[in-house]
Amino acid sequence: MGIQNRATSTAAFSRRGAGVGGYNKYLGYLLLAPALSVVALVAFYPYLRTLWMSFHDISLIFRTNEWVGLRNYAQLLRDASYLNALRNTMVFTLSTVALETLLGLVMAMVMHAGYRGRGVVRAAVLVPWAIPTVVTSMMWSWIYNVDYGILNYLLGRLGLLSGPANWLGEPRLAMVAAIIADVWKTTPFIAIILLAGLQGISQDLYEAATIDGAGARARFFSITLPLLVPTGLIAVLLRLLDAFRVFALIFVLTNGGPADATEVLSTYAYKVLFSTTDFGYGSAIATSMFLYVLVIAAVFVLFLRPHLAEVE
Amino acid sequence: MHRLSTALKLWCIVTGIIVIHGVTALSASSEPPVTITFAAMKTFGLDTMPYVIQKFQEKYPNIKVAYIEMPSPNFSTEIHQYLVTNLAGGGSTIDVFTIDIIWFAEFAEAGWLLPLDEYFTPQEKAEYFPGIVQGVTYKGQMVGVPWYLDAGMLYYRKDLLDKYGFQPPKTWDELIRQAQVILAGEKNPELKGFVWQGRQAEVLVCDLVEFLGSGMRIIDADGKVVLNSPEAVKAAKLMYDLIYRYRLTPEAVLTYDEEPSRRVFTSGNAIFLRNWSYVWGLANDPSESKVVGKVGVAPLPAFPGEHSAATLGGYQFGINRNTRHRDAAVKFVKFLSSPEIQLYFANKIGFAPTRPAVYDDPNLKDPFLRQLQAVFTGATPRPITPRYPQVSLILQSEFSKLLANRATPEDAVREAARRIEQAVR
Repeated sequence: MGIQNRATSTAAFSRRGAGVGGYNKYLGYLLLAPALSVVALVAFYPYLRTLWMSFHDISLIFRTNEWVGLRNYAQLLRDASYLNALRNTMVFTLSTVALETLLGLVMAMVMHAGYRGRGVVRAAVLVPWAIPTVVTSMMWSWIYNVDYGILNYLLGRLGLLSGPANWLGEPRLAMVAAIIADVWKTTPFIAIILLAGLQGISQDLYEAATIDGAGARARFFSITLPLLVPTGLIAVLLRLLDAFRVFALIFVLTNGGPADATEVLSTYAYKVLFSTTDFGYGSAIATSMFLYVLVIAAVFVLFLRPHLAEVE
Repeated sequence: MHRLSTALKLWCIVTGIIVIHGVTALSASSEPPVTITFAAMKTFGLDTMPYVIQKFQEKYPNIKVAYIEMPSPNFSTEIHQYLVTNLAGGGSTIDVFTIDIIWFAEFAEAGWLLPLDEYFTPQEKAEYFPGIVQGVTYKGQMVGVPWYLDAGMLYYRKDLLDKYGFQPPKTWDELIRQAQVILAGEKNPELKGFVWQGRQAEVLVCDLVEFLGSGMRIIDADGKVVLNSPEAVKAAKLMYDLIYRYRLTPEAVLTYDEEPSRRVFTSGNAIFLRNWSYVWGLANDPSESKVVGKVGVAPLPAFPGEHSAATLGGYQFGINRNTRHRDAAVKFVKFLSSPEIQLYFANKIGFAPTRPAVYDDPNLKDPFLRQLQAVFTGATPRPITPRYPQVSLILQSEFSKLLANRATPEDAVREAARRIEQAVR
């Protein structure tokens, strides 16, 4: 019905448009202009400005602003702190997204199954995702507290820990702690998208498969999983881009410490930009993040395209 | 890009002129009241600033003060960012602001602070502690007005030290020995020897300066990086040993900033604590503390033959160089820094006055503040350089590695010195 409507109105518009000629063409641009300028102002201008700054040595303190070409980018490759942040960001991104996808799939299946109280479960699952990140991060920093945290208390009661674990004070554990907190918070996001995917799979397929003698396992691997791939890929893409830019969680939990073990690109860029006001170098870090995200997105679109075509 | 920003400036100027014109036209009839904007950090006493502003307005009815509340000092990065964003634009949105003592070099170098030598006579300057006047002076020019002093100090459990017949420790070795004896005697598994702040944050640098001891051991007065020294390695080794050798400091110190460490102490689970002056009030507040009346304060210990160091802290006042109301702003700042108001802050929220005379005022209620004069004699500044933020980030990163057992004391010191040299060059 939608397509038909659109077709008629387009036809009507072009009929009228033909009558008035050029006037309408300009009117179209004119009407678009406010929206376009808003987009230009809030999206393109900051990007271009950041890019432009990344080719300069800008210091507010020493009031310098000179063109240095690619020097800032060359410095990135020699900056051990940057490379460390890049590595941490990749570890964080890959671990969180992998775990979230697996757990999200399980949660989606649970929410999809027909049982009483399903609505309550669906709502409850979304709660972590709906709370602002800064709030959940504060909450987790209390959970992880060495002396008074509930996690150490519970693990101690269960006999899983001999002494209190220094969750946010031991470099390796701190990264694990950040990953757990992120998984807790954002798994519902993937679960909801996958749930939509599940609901889009026709029941007829399952019925037909059952009649042909396929067991639950076969049905899952031959029907559910392959048909979930397109939605799954979109969910994973969105999460990857998001996890790559993680900021609030790390900022609140550890401020990048201890021993730079949880320093990610966003927190490093923030420190360089706003603590040291080295805007040139900070912009180069930000631009490099933009490029990484662009590459991730591009790779995914290449992956996605055949799958999307399949669906259509 | 260039043309755009010129156009933007032009637009701002034109709008500005129109606005100013409008305002002058409106108020031309009577004596024009001036409004200055004051961006102040949040303190423990939420009602203190509004009260002080009201007092000022009563005294100077022609000056109105608009008050902007910034976050509290444990969010110093956010305060810094707010001030930088406001001042770097060259505007005059804020006229007067509170500023951490460590930012004077940076802000003055950038030309954001109104030079104040013409407003303060040498006699007026001499009314403050010399150390604090030095702290608000950059390249020979006074660029800030003193508000309150703070410094790192040693809190100790008076009851426990008395029980074992100890005096507050003067050297680090004494502290270690006393803590070991008390821990062995008390047999309380919850009790920790010495807690301080090891979170990868600004406060780690404050603690580091105190371990390094008196004197400028990171960057000297000529701006030379002098960190790579046997003394610094000795200090780094002490920090490391407290955690991993003597086990007097829990590994959780890596997650502590001021408040978490304070809670361990005020819940009765530590013998010694390094912290700022604010802890005194909380330690003697029964709703916050299990050790009311059992706490003493002393200057931090030192290495044998050296003086105790106390990291100089505290917020001071600065005036935006671009303010349109210089005289009003100076009047306001002088009022804020007056003996009367310093006494008010001291009595109300325990802010240590920067004027020695206030300590002798019979109306000064808290005897604790008088004790602090011993601490303040050892007040040691953090590195004075316009590149302080970079220096701080490097120290945080390298010494966090030391505390996390990821670098030896020698490596941490050498690596930090190398990176700082690169950054300040």
